[in-house]
Parts: sequence; C-alpha cells; structure tokens
Amino acid sequence: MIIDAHVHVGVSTAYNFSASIDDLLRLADDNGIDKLFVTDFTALIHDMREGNDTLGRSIRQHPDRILGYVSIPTMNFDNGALEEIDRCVHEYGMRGIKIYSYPKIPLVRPSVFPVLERAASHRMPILAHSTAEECEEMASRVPEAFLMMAHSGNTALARGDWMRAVQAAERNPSLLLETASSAVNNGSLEYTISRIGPERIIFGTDMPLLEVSVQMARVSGAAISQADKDLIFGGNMARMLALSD
Amino acid sequence: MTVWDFSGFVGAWGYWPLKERTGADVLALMDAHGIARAVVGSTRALESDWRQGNADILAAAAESGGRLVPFVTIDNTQSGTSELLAEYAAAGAKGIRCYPSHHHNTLPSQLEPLCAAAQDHELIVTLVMRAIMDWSFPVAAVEPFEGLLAQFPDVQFVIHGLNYGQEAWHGIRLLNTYPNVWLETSCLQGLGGIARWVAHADVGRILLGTGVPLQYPACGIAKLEKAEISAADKEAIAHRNAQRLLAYST
Repeated sequence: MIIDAHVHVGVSTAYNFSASIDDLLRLADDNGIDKLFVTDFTALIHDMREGNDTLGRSIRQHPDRILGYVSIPTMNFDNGALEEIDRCVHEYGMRGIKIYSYPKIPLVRPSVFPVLERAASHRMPILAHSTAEECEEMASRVPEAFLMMAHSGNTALARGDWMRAVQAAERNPSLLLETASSAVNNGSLEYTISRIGPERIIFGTDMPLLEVSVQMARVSGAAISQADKDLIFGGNMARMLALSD
Repeated sequence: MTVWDFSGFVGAWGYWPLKERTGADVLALMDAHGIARAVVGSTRALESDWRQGNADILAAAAESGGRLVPFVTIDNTQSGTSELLAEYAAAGAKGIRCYPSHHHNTLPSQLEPLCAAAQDHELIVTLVMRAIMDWSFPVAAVEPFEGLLAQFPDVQFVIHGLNYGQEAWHGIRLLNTYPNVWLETSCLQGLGGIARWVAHADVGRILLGTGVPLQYPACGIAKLEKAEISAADKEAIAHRNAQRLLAYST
C-alpha cells in the first residue's frame, strides 16, 4: 500500500496551484498511490475552520482514499486549536494534524505544546513544516507525539540542511522524517536509513506543487531494499495509523 | 528510450556522503539507470581548483569511450581565456560551465570575454543558475545574463538549473526569444513542468538533465517518462536534441 503523507487540496494564488480532490485522486491513480493524507490550503493560510470543513466533506465522499489532517496555522495555536482538533476528529474522523506558519514565523512557542499533547492523546501524527532545530525542541518536549518533519530539512526555511534533520531524528526517537522535496540528493535516503533505520521515514509528494513521479522515483530508484521501500511508501504510516490493507 | 544526460558531474563530493567519485563510478550509475551518455563537469571545479578539475574531467572523458562529454570551467578573472579554451577544445572539451553564483561572476560583463572566446572556438556555454536543486546551494538569477544571449547570437547557451514558478516561466520566455538558448531539466521539479515547457516553447531546445550522480538519476528520467507529451517529444528531450546541440561543437 502506498500512502502519500503530504498532499494539498484547494487553490493557492501564492503558489500558483489549484487542485480539487478529484484532481488529486487522478494524480494518485496515475502514479499508483492508494491513499492521500491531505491538508486543505484554505485552512492553512486563510480560514482554518472553513478549510477543515471542506476537507471533511471530501473525506466523507472518499473514506477509503482520503485521510485528513486538521490544519492548524500558528496564529490559531492558542485560538481554538484544541477544540478544532477534537471537532475534526469527531465530525470527520481526521487522522492527523498539520502545523504551519505563514508568514514564516517560528512554530515553536508555548502554545504549540498543548497542540502536540492533544495530537498524542488522539494518536494523531503531526506533519510540521519546520526546521530541524524546532522539531528537536518539539519532539523532546512532547516525546509521546508522532512528529513528522515535513520535507526532512529540504526547504529554504530549513536551509536545505537535511543532514541536520537526520541528526535531530537520531537524538529523538519519536521524530519521523517525511520525504517530499524538490531536492533529490543522491544517497540521502541511503544515508538516512544508515543512521535511523527505515521505520521512521515517511513518503510524501507535496502534490500538487511537485512532480509526483519525481517523488516516487526518489524512493523507488534509491539503492535500498524492497522491504525498506515498502515501509517508506506506506508501511510505516499504516503501522502508525493502525491501517490494514 | 535512449537517454543522454546534459547535467552530469564527476569527482569527489564534500557536501554529503556519496559513493560515486570517479568516471567509472558515474558510468556504473548511468548503466544502472539506462543513461547512454552524459555531459559532465568537474565537482572540483565547482568551488575548488578549476585547473585540476578540468584535468580530471578531460581524463575521465578520455577513458569513457565517448560516454562522458567534458565541459570545462574557467576562472575568467585570469588572463588568456581564449588561449586556454583553445587548449581545452583541442583536448576534447565540448563546452564551458559557468557558475555565476559560486564564482562571484554575477555581472554579465564578467562573462563577456569567456563568451567571446567560446564563440571563437565553437564551444557551448552553460549558464548554471543552480548546480543542483539543493536549498543550501547558491542560486543565480537568469535575468541579468539576458544581454549575453543577444550579444553572442552564434554561441549556443544552455540554461541549467531552473526550477518551478517564475523561473520556469522565465525559461519559456528565453526559449521563445532567443534561438540560441536551450534549457535543461535537472532542477525542474514542479508538477507537469516538462509538459508546460513543451506546450509553450520549442521542444527542439529542451535537454534532459538528471544531475547524475549528485541527484538521483531515476528522478530526472521519471519526470520525462511520465510527462504528458508525445513519444516523439520525449525522444527529442531524452537525447535527440542533445545529439544535435553537441554536433555544433567542434
């Protein structure tokens, strides 16, 4: 089973994309991806509740294909985030939380820790668009949470320092690394596995921003075992969410 | 599909552990991914010793049975650029890689002597906007170099390392404006990037790049294989365009 842990739905004039759930499912089908773990763009940068509701309705339409993140922008951490998490779990069965800052301000602030704790209490993985330093602080403060570092450091925000992300994961056993990025450094996946093993690497594409085939090939074309590829492509996420085939 | 890679490298790599160092290593990786030929520059020339890097790359190419096509790099603050390029061309170099952001040559006037010499010796000039798609690496803007494209119409310029968004659209505009401009794909990572270039510009001047061995070659090949374009266009990008461009060089 292939699960894409990093998917956006909605319209973004900032990033010049527009993708409906049907568009995303077509991309998934074209690339052999079984399930999409989705965040709504409107929820991330415009209206948290409106966006989460939109995604929730899509989950109801495609319960076998769409997993939902409750999207929580930084400014909402202490402005209804905990209630929003509970609401989206109960109303829509959302399985994860996406935390994100726009404009680019730090994610780590006192109000983020209750969000992580609430995620842990629901056993929801958290996808954090953040730096290695921030993820280390969050993972060390709330080690019971499943914290996934979006892009594994391969962003401008994290200065492209993916080796620093691996170091953070080495020191924090609850920290996971998600693969989506336009950087496709040869040997990076092999190195990551050599340091933290394959069980904490999570496949993502960042569709519809990035070319899906490139993100697939980063894993399928790496010099790693098929068993490791299976874990990264979906086994690890399925285990975390207690999903069955 | 025959694959030629226009954005390869050979040499040691100091930025993360990479097992491919020699020309033979790169050829083995190319074999594993079905890449027949690669245009290569020296990793040593990227930021360290360009003279030794050029010697390395010419030696690796000489031992490759024609599968590695060498491009050299010159510190153009030195005098004697034209004479040096003549030597390199005689030794088998087919082109030059310029790294404006790595070599602090971000003023187009700094590259004029090099372009003039390349014109004299019929060498291709690659303007590297980013060496690989890595967020920790420097990036040059292509706009300031546009004057060179018009100033040297007999030089074939390859724009290397454009990514998504406005960079990709700028590449389309350059391709449509200057008949001596070619684009390579190694850093073009946005969804549907190749199809967008093909839809809006001349497919005959788009070159496949994977960035072997610094980038996973499978990624560069996959985005062409999955691109929503015709089989003929894929063949053109995969190798026919590179074949035609390299024939330009003596």
